[in-house]
Amino acid sequence: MRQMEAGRISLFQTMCMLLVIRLTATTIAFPFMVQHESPSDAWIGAAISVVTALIVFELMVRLSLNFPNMTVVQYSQTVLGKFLGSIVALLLILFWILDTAVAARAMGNALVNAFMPETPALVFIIMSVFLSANAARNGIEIIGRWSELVSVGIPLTTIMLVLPFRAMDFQNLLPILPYGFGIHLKRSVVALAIFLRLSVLGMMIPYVHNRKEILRYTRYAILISGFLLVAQAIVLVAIFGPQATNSAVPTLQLVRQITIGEFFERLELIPVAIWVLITVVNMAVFVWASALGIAQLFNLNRFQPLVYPIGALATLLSILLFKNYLEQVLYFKYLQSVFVPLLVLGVYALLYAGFALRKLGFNRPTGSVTPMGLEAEADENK
Amino acid sequence: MIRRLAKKMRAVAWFGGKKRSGNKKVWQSGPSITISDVLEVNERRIRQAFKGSFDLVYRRIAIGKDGCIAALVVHIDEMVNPQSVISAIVERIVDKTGSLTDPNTAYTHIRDRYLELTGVTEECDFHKMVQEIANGNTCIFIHGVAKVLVCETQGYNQREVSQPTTEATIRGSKEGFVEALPTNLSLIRRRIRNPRLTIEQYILGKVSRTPVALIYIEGIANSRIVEEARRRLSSVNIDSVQESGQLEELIEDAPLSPFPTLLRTERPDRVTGNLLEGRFAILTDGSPFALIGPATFTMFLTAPEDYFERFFAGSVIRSLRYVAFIISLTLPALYVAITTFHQELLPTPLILSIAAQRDRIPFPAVVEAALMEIAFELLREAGIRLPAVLGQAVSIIGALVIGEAALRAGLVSAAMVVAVALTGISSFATPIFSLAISIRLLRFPLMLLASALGLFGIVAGLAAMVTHLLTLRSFGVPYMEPLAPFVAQSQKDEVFRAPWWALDERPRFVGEQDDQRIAPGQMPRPPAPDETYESDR
Repeated sequence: MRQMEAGRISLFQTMCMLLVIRLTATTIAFPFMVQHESPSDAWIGAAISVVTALIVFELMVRLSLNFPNMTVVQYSQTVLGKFLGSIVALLLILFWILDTAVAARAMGNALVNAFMPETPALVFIIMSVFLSANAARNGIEIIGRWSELVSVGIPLTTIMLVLPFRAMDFQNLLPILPYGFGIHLKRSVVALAIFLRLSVLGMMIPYVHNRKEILRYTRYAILISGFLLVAQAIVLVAIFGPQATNSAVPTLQLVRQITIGEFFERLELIPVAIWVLITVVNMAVFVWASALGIAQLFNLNRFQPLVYPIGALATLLSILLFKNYLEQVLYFKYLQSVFVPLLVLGVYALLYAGFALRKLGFNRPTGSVTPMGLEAEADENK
Repeated sequence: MIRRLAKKMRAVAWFGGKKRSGNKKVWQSGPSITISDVLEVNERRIRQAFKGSFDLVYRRIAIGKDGCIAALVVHIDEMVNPQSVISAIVERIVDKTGSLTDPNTAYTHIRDRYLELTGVTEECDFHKMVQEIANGNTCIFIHGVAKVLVCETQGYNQREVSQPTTEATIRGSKEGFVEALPTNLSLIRRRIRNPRLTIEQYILGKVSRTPVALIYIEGIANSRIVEEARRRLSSVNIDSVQESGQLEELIEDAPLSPFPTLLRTERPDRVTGNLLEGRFAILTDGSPFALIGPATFTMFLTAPEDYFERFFAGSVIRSLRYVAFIISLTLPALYVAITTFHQELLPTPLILSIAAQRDRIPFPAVVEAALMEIAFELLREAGIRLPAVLGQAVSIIGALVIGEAALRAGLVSAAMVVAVALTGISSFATPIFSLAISIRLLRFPLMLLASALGLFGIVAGLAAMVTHLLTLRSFGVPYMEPLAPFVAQSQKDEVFRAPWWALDERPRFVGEQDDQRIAPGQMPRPPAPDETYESDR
């Protein structure tokens, strides 16, 4: 059979995609800091999340590399059997669609709040989701190249973190651990939940050139984005103090502090443009992954026709998800930090368990040989 | 969506093609006829073939001992060099054959010994012979011999090799292509004197029979790309090729894209430079523009001068051109977005002064910008169409008088005039005109998006554009290479140009076979000072 996705991406492109996906949630909006209970040492939680993300993805990628030619949707069926595997894959796909919606809504809200208060967020959401669906339709190669181009923005935004150095007061970073360590553990899950968006890597690995090296590049991506996360948590607090937790778009506030030569006063244009592009690319990856996932799950010939319907679904979801900005904050703070780790980690725990059982010798013919019902029964027996 | 449109267009073309497929037979040459050994028969047939056109010259001459052999010389009057026909053919064969009586001996002697021309070939097929006459060659018939001698006597008026008008440079060769293919080929051969420089000929156009040359350097060019070029050229089926632009539309990769996927140039040095990078070039007789492929986006922003100036200047000027590209694409849209939505982005004094100017303007910013841009495009078009003498006058009247008057009348604001002028100047800085045209086209949708959605609209428009650019390929090479896919090695020659001693490799996707361009370690190092002095003494 002709391969559904014929594109190939380089390791560098994969890393760029992962970076882009993670940085969507730090470049302008910064859900990790919003309503943080202990702002002065918030970076500790961020650092913890980086460590946990490193561990989680180490395991995830290692599992995927056991099935180097299969996406997570495909090997979940090999590992867990047709029935359970499909359910697990569907859960992941739904999670990616949901995250598309969340990313779109976060961007729409931020644009409305910061720039164009009279335009409904839906306009921005529709346009950006359409753009990303269009990019996704062209396959992973195009998205990979997009993310390379967009990654130029990463050093730019990093420079912007350093530029307002005059306004920084590192006294704000004290005291350390005024509320104990537990709060940071809890908070680190908020950041980890966003890291878990990178689980989309499971769809990319079969399309990566030279994929044995992928583990190293995943680590790079997590370390770089983690470094930026920690740095941003420190810089924001150094500049704004405890106020840093109040703004919806703290990074934007930060950029507004920058003036160069008394003429370039409003530089936020640049990070916002970069952020919009980053979000579009991020959503493109998700739309691509879920379209490809569904096509593989249901044995379709092409994934391209699914791209726009998924985009439409995400657009709808993004409107229905939150009634207002407060709900969005609450989602990031409570809901996402509970169900996303539960879902993704749960799925991967299942996959690992299935894989381990396979290895131990509980091997039996899969999928195509046994009929559907027996397969499901066998899964339940196990 | 574009693909669907293409399908629709294909369907339309199909229906159209069905209706018009009637008179195909006219252009088929019919059953092959051999040449007769009777002069009268040949002459009659040629007259028939050319439908009695008056500019054919049929010259009966009597050669051999006492003129016992009758011969016929046929050519088209204005397509040949009269000197070579008269002195090198007619005079010589009459002089030299004075002792011969047998037509066949006369024929072989003429073929092998008497003619002082570079190309003399034999032909037996009548249709091929007629084509040779149409090409401007001269045919010699001898009574009693069923063969014909075809002598290369092509000669016609052609423009002198002169400075290219669309791609001027300060430093570098001042030669530009002309309309005659042989001259153009000589301009290239003279620059690369290597037998590996391969020139393949294609005759395209059912009616016009235009010679087209595919040029590449064997051993540097990627053979698969050359093979693809061959395939596309041989699949061209058209009545006539008058300009390489026609050919471009028939063989390019993205016929529905606003962006050109073949580079066209008037400069031989640009062609040779690209041949040496492993690309191929297509030259069309009758057109001073060569096509170069595979073309990537960044090629359209380079000028030959970048390579001839010292690398600091070359790099700075080239990056300036990238800035000019961005300005010419987005400045009017940015003006619209900022004056309509994001006044806070400009420093207060500046936005106050713009607001004060705009106070009297009756239009919204987008109308103002569109009006001025359209006026500018009009001026530019009029400037090209008018005779050169008047062109100057039009640009002065248009730019100065109308601009000033529109400003005073309160139709446009001064800031807008500045923006339009800057845009115009920036678009002149694009070295290849075909890209400049696409930028001009894309500016208007961007302005509309900006007027509706502000900066977000511009970013969205650019994102759509970039997605499109990323999907493009030219002969298998990604259009945005080496920016995306990112190729670290090729960055030496993209936005900046590294000095020549560091440009050691050819572009990765294109030149596959021989990677090395320059031997390493050639950075010049002057000798240590004491050595110099010693040798001086």
